[in-house]
Amino acid sequence: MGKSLNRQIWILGLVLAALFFVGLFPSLVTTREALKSGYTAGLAAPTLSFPLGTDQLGRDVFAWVVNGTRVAFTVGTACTLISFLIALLGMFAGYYGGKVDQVLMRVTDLTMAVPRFVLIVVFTTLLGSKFLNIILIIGTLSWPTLARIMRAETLSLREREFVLSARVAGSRSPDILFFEILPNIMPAVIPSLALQFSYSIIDEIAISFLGLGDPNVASWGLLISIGRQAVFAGGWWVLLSPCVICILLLVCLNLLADRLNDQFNPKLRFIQL
Amino acid sequence: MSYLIKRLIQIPLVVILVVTFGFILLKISPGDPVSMFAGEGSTPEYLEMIRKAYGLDQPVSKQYTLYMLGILKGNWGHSLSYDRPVLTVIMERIPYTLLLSFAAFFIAVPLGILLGVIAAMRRGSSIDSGVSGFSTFFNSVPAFIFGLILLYVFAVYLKVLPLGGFQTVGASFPNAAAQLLDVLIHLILPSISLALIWMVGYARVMRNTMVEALLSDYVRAAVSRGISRRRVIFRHAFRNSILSVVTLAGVHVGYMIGGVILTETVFSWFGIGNLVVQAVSFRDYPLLMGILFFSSIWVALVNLLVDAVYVTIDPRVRLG
Amino acid sequence: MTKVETLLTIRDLEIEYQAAEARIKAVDRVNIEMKARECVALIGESGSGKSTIANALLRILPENSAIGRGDILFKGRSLLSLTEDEMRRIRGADISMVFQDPHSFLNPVLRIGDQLSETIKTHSPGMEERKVLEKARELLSVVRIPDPAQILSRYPHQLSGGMAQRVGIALALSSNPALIIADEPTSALDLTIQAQVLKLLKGLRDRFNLSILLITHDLSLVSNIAERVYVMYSGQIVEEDQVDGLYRDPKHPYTVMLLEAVKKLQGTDTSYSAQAESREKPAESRCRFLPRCPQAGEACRSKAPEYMTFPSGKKILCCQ
Repeated sequence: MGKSLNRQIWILGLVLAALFFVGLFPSLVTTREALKSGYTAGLAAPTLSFPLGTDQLGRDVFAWVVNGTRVAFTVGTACTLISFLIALLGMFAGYYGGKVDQVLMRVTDLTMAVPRFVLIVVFTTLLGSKFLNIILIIGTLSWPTLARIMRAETLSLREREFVLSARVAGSRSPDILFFEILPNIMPAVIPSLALQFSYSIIDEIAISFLGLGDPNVASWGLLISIGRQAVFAGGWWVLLSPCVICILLLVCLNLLADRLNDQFNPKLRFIQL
Repeated sequence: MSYLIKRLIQIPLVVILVVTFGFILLKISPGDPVSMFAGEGSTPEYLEMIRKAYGLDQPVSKQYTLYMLGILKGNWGHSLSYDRPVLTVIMERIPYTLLLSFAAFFIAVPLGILLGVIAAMRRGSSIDSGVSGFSTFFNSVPAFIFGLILLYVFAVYLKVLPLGGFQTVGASFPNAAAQLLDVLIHLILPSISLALIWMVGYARVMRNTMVEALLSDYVRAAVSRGISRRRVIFRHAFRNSILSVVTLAGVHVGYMIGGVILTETVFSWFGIGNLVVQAVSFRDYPLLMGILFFSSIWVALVNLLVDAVYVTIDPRVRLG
Repeated sequence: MTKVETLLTIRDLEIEYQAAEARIKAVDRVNIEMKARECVALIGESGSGKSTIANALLRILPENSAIGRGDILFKGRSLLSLTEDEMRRIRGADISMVFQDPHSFLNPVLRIGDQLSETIKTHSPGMEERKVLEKARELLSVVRIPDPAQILSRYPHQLSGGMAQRVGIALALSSNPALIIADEPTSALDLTIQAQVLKLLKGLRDRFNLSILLITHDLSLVSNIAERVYVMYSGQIVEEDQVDGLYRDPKHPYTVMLLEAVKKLQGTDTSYSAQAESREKPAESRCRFLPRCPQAGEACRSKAPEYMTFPSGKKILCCQ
């Protein structure tokens, strides 16, 4: 049972790594620019030269999809990193307790007062559609859940022997936090990080789809919105290509998060799907 | 009970905080909304007139007070793009969103519960794995992408269902029933796309809590007294698992507005979600803010409702 | 002179369960006999397999366990060859169980009265509602619960541990079983309550002609209530005797250790001997107690122990 789980994680990891690699070096897979129009006169069906066809403005769909991988991974990594860093507050709150903890809990409660996506839309509208803005916005609106998990895990670890023995040995609190507690809460946190990765990607695609994304960035979301128009002219490839690749990436990510959860939280494994 | 009252008091506090937050947001954001609204080439006098009309020429603190008072009185500003009070515009759209959401709910909840119960009862079997795979898949796919694919397949390719909208444009109907039918047909695709995604959430939650319940001590004890398996499943495991469904439902309904934005856009549904997109494209800040406030009130109210339901259903909360 | 018949015979029972990658024998060639109106104690530390036997009697073993060889005869019938339906009729009606932690073995969202009537109705279908309530009230007063009418409408979390356990006993009694298995009935209770519950069980035994199989790790409880004792270690019965024979003249090294431990707790013996719990997988063909046995000899390392019978009726499993 343990072996096949490990194997699944490796396979998923491999698929994701392949996609990541494509994102990192798009020029290895295609030489055309994603957003450059005019490769063809207009909407063109897939051919050998254009494996996924072109859109109404003659842009290469395949190139777009490939570059979109890079966009997706950038968004995922950056936003997750930002969320993670802010969520470390949860660790502090769990460790120090008292007022710090209370304040943190209040703040997380408040951030749950409004639907997250509405906030993302509002912020993006007000602050402008630059790619950097979007990443910052998504990243800073995703920390509460992560923070709660970190806090909960820290709370349960706080009274364990190795922490207490470190304290007795005279370690300072920041050292304890980063060298004792953080490494030990990571197993529980990692699956949530994977989930966060996929949520950030979804958010960015959604924002781009709504037309709020950075027009200079080859996001799948933007391509999907173009595809939506394209289907009326018969250009199904423009819509379905990004949809399929997006689903592929997200399913892999979610499966990985699930399997990681099984691996790192085995006591839940027996019960959870 | 006192817990509920505490919750009730929190609502206006939260709203005030959100309004303040929105105000600050408006003030610090780059760009001048007035000139954006008025358009290029407007004379300075015109811009000044607009500013006066919206009270934007007064000191910030005064603006804030006026703003806050206005909101509390029900004056949520004037929608720049619709040229009508913001609150009116919002209220106009709400019924459509509610219709969509509840239609999706109606499908998602019973089916989800059913799937979850079946998976729990046949734990470990291929049915269970099937439900599990199904769940993971639909959990990963964003609702709007799923909606788009459905739209393409059924409305563009097969042409059996409408492309979107609330009802067929420009058509006249012999009677109310025919009109209702038209609406229902338009409702099919959007509600199904939402429902399928929601459904797997319920299936998962139901399955997990029921499995936990079936493995629990009190179920074993009931079996040891000779109570039949069927009765044990329904009277004991099911009843205890329903609570978790209520929690999830609370989340879906509470964050409904965020959830429907995309689906309503895809299907051009005349609800609040679509309104958000319109407000964005017209840079209609008052309207956007209004939607923000409304969302926060909605979330607070739904949370309160869920808590009230919990108090009724779970005796541990009620009396403990 | 009335001939007392054998009520229960467990013969050469073997139960295995699947843990991680190994199959472990939780119960190995166990033989137990009980007569009507007899109280037998089954003593062992946690992990010795005693609860597994209890679950096996009612066939409510967890899913990863399987009964290998052997048989269980109750009133002459083989329990292991019954269908699930037939077994269900026996559960509660002929054999019932009182569990360790009353709060986890009662359904938290159902009232006490509902849980009692459910069990009563299961075994007396068609009984009038009024009579069911009466019987429920009667049962509660039999277990010495003051003000039964009020308790019927309460929820489990509103009762103290001792009260909840009495309810558990009432539930076990509700269908007039011939055998009650008490699996650590007092371990989750305060010391003062423990004595009360045991006294109650004893009184019930006399009043209702019950047999009681008392499963516990606490030797001190046994002398008050049991007539015969089986001592279990690592899935095997290592000593069997009448109660006073066991206390007066324990033969198996493990029994000796247990009694010493009891004496220490009661303050009459202050000598100390290391009691390391063995983490080794129990050996299949050697004496399982070998790692901890202070009297281990050469013979113990090379051959499997066998059952020896003494003239007093005592039986032990040993090589010497």
